[in-house]
Amino acid sequence: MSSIRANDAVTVWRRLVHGYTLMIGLCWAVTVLIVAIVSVSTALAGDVTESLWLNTGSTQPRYFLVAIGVMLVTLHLPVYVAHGVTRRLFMLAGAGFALAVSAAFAAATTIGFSLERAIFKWQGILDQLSHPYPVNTLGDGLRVTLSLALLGLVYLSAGGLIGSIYYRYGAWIGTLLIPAAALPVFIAEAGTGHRYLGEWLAQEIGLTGLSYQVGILVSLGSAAVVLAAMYSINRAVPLRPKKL
Amino acid sequence: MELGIEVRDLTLRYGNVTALDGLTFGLTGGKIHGLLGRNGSGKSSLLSLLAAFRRPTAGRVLVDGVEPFENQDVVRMTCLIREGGDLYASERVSHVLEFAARLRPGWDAELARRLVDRFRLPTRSRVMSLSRGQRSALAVTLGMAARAPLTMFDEVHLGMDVPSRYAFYEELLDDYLAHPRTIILSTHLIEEVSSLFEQVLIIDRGQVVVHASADELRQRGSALTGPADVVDRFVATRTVLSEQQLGSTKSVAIYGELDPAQRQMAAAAGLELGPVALQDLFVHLTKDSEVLR
Repeated sequence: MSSIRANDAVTVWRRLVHGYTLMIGLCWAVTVLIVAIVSVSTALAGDVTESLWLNTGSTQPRYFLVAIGVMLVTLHLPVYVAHGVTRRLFMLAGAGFALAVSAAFAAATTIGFSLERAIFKWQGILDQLSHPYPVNTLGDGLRVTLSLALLGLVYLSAGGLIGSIYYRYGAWIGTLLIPAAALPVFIAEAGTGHRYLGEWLAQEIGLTGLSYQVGILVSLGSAAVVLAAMYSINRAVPLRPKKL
Repeated sequence: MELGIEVRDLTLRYGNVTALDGLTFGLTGGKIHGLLGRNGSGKSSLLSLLAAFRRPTAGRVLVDGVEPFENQDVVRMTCLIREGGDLYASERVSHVLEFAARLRPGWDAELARRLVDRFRLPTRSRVMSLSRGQRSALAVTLGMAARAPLTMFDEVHLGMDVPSRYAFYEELLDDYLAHPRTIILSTHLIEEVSSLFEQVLIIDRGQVVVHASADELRQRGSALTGPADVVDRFVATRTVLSEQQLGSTKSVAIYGELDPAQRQMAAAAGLELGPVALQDLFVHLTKDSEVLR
């Protein structure tokens, strides 16, 4: 096998970033708009007792990451391979893209926390919350960003794995294996204590006391397992026949 | 750059179905090869293996002496254009062209522009809104402007109207003469394209039926035209591929080479001799299950 050329991988990575910039921007614009509407409504009713960004802004965009992951394999992989890119090179560039997008999502989430905290402080409700605000210091911000970036990576990779199974093995097997492909997401959420399902799962099985470091390792392990499974399925995946 | 191809004992199975059954042949680089076969003969499967779109079940494919599958150096020099086109249906034509330009090292933007004009492609339209013929024309544009050393078209021009198809043949030949490379054309429109072929590979039921130069193949038969009774007498003991009659004049295509003495005899009987149509030969060679190696 030939070696992968770094500039080829960078070209593919750039094309992926270029192709998703507008879509990701729209995703965040919609998220911010929804949170703003919910926040204003809640504030007018005088019911602000916890971070609204925690419940909506920090969770819903993760499902968009799943969608990106699915499209990465089902939509982009065949087109890139047909344009003279090996599966290996595409997956390398795709992994880099997944890392960048997950990090960007995590950073955007943390920025959202910072803005909401500033607004809460300005409105004098920061000390009236039922739970302490989740991000109060720069250190908190960095810890949350890292944790969310890894969680986002697991989400996106799980989407990629679901898409890979569908593309290679068809709709029946793909549907049957969704729970297995999504399991690492629950494990990573449970390990890091993030909402929603993971938080619930962690409480149910008594994993609430895990340290931050262990949570990070659990997320890393989950991402590694999913990415390895994706690579295994796609490294020799045949392109489906194309007809008009 | 002209990439040669070697195929040895190539087998491809889809479950219990054998699409290719131990193919062995070689294609010389820098020529236009016609790949002919009936529906389901294995043409698309063969091309997908040459382009590393899939891996063979058994046997080997060598492009320029190396296996193409997951070989970045080879696949970046290879371009297979399939009928549906492997492109983003929801994107605009201009974006699809720009995308290919970024990934294809030999991309010729000027040629792409010319083809877009000649095929009257609306660059601001989305691919999904194009007609079948326009999508085929876009696919052809992508394949030609990529100028890959190994370029393959898999029945890509079927949806195009006649003027567009002839424009494609003309542009392909002109560009090939200016930039020689290995081109494989898989088609059912044999008579339209046969003049482009330098080599012809006919496969049927996953096996090679004939692999020869186009000229050599045409010599395997002859077309005889003359008075009907004279023609009938001359071809009485021969395999007739096709026949046409207008009044008392008849034209018959026969299979099998004529030696100089037979040619002289035909001329003396007042018969005109001409080359046989590749399509007639193709029909004859693939009409039964026997493989004529």
